[in-house]
Amino acid sequence: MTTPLDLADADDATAPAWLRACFRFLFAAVDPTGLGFMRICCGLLVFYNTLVYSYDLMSYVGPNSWLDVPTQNYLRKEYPVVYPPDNWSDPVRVEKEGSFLWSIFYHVRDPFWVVAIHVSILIVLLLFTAGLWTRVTSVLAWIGAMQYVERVQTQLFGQDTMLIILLLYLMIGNSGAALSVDRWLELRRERREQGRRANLTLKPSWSANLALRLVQVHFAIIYLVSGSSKLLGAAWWNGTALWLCLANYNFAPMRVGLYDQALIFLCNYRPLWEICLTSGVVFTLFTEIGFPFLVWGRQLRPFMVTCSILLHLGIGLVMGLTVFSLLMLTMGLAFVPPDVMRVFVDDLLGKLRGWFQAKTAPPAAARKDELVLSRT
Amino acid sequence: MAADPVTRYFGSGWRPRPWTVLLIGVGITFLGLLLRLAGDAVAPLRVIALFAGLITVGSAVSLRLRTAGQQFEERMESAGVLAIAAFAALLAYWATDTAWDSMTMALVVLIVAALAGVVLVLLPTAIRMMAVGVLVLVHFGGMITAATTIDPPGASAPWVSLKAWLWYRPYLQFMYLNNAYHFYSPEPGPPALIWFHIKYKDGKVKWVKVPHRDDDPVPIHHTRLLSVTESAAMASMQQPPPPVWGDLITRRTRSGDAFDIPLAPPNVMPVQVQYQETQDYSLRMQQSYVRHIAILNAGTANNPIAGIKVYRLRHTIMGPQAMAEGRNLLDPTLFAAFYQGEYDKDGNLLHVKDVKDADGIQVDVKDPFRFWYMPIYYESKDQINNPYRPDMRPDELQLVDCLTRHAQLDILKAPSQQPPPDPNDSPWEDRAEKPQP
Repeated sequence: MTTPLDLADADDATAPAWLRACFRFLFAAVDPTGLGFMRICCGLLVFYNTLVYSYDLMSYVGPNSWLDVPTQNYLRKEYPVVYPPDNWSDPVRVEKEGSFLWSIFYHVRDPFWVVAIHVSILIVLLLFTAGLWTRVTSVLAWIGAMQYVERVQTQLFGQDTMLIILLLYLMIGNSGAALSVDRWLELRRERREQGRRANLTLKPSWSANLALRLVQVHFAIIYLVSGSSKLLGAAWWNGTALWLCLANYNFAPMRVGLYDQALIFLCNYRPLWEICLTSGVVFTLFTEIGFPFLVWGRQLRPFMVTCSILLHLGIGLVMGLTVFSLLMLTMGLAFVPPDVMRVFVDDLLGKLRGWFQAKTAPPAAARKDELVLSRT
Repeated sequence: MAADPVTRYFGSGWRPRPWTVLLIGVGITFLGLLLRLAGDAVAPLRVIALFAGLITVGSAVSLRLRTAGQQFEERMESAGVLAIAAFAALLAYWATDTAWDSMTMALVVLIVAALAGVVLVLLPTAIRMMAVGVLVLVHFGGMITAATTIDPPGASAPWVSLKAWLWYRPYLQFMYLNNAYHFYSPEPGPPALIWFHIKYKDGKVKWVKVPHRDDDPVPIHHTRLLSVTESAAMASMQQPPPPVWGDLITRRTRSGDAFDIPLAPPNVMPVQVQYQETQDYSLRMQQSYVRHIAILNAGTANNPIAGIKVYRLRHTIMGPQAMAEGRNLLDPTLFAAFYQGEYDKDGNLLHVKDVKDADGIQVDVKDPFRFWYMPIYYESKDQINNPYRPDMRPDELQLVDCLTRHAQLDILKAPSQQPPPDPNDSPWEDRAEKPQP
């Protein structure tokens, strides 16, 4: 419900302090501008990601795709599930139970309808990005994106995970309350009905806060797990792990001359190589393990968010995971305080408006003519 | 100022009413149910009606929840809207073919979600917030479960996590929240590649490499293909039990001697890890990928595919010393190839059983190279007087390329009947994938 929650109901003195703190953490109403900005970023990225399926659509979701019908059926109906024993003597039990996968592309095999569904999903994603009927299109956008990830099970990577997480939370929060066509229509209606008395201020939203909190906690879990699991690897201890990413021919831009030359230069000076790569590893581990603990305080938050931005810029530039990095950066926006986000967005919109007016304004000579003509 | 099109059409006071929209949605969904009686001829129309009906019902729920108050009567009405939405989903469930089982599963989830919404809406605010808080905790419990069900190196995952996974599995898989987030851990490894050697009936051959940067101009597509190959590359590093291992190594050595495809020297790869049996899951994926590749490279009616040999490769990441020396990033010795078997175009494994001749005498044609490493390494041109040393000059070395030798091998023919080496049948020179000089 977008109707304001009356926190006073739950915020009475009889409730324990920790419970009230939890309620405030999850349900205090905040400016939804940040969530709206995240919707636009996420929508554009998901649209691009889905558009890329068009490049080889039938190889992804067609009947003779990489995962053909018998293999789909194996994954959906026969994929083994492991049951650990409840005592010390029984062996591990394995049952062929399948997976809870759902996608219309499991059932629609006619190329015409496959393309029709694909185009429909792209249209929905555009509507969601623009923020039109956002409460409905956000759900449809999530459903649309799920049709691919649940179907192309062996063609997924981290980017798909982040994309679905973001869409899920943008569906829970009122992501169309700001920076959207919905908001524009609302303002127009208010002006039409109320005239000068119209209240055009943006209402704080508790669901926006809930969504932002969910993104924050999820982001922190991802970092903590990703960072702590790296501690199991020798390459993360001896400082060479970053090299295995930087020199991976299939990910890194090894065919870009400048990049290749930079790596060779680094390799020619071992102390430099060791210091650079060890520093990179330490920075990665510090950011991923430290972020979930240090980001919550006001003082360290800007520093940790900056570290996160640098980490993902690095991943985007050298590992070819540009969209993944942009999605992570979009998730990171949840840590920017709503009032700061509002100032940033207002500033950005002001600049865009100024740029647009400058582009569309007639040249000086034409304006002079207009004046002359109007006078006559 | 002229009125905008919406206002002109509906009037300035027009607002869609939730109940009206809801009933329209239920009506459209019911129409979808009726269309089921018309049979498969109108199946697309039925699916469209069901989608349109459910979207309309969803819009009605959204409209209602956007404007509803917190008083008990208001909450009752909202609960009513949600209950009818659940009923619409039930209609859609009835209207859906059982063959569309994944869609009926989604509809069941929709019904449960709508009914849960009924309960949530009816709760007083404070209790509702508590309930949402509990749901949030359960949700993140799932994330922790997914993250901890991965076996750490040399051990198994916690029993508690494995048990919790059984409980969470439907939710996490349905929502695609089952990623463990172990990115590049325990450490970044070399990428997996799959190379297909397609042989046609007339003897012509073709190499298909997946992924191939020249064929994958879109970076996301390239990364997705790396996931494809990764799924087909899960292998067991455990040596089989002694009797099986003895048989395997005997057959491999004997065939290697016969066909000049020796085991790799220990300095290239220890013999224990030269045999890596692919896991069942990856084998199934390989079969699917073979069928896909066969369709894309089907040949002609007169010249169909005779067999497809599959190789799983790891492209070793070059060390800093080799890079400083200016070594080629695509040097063949950086590729560790494991033969996966030869398939027909339908993904059936060839040479799967030992064959007996007409007299019932065993003819050893069961593929002796399956799951074995196909050595690619440099050796000295003069092995006797100047044996291999790592610091030898390129002109003192020659390449031993058992991958190419094996690809050209016809396992059904005796060594003396093998065709002569075909210089055009090589995985290294078919396309111009070359790094910057």
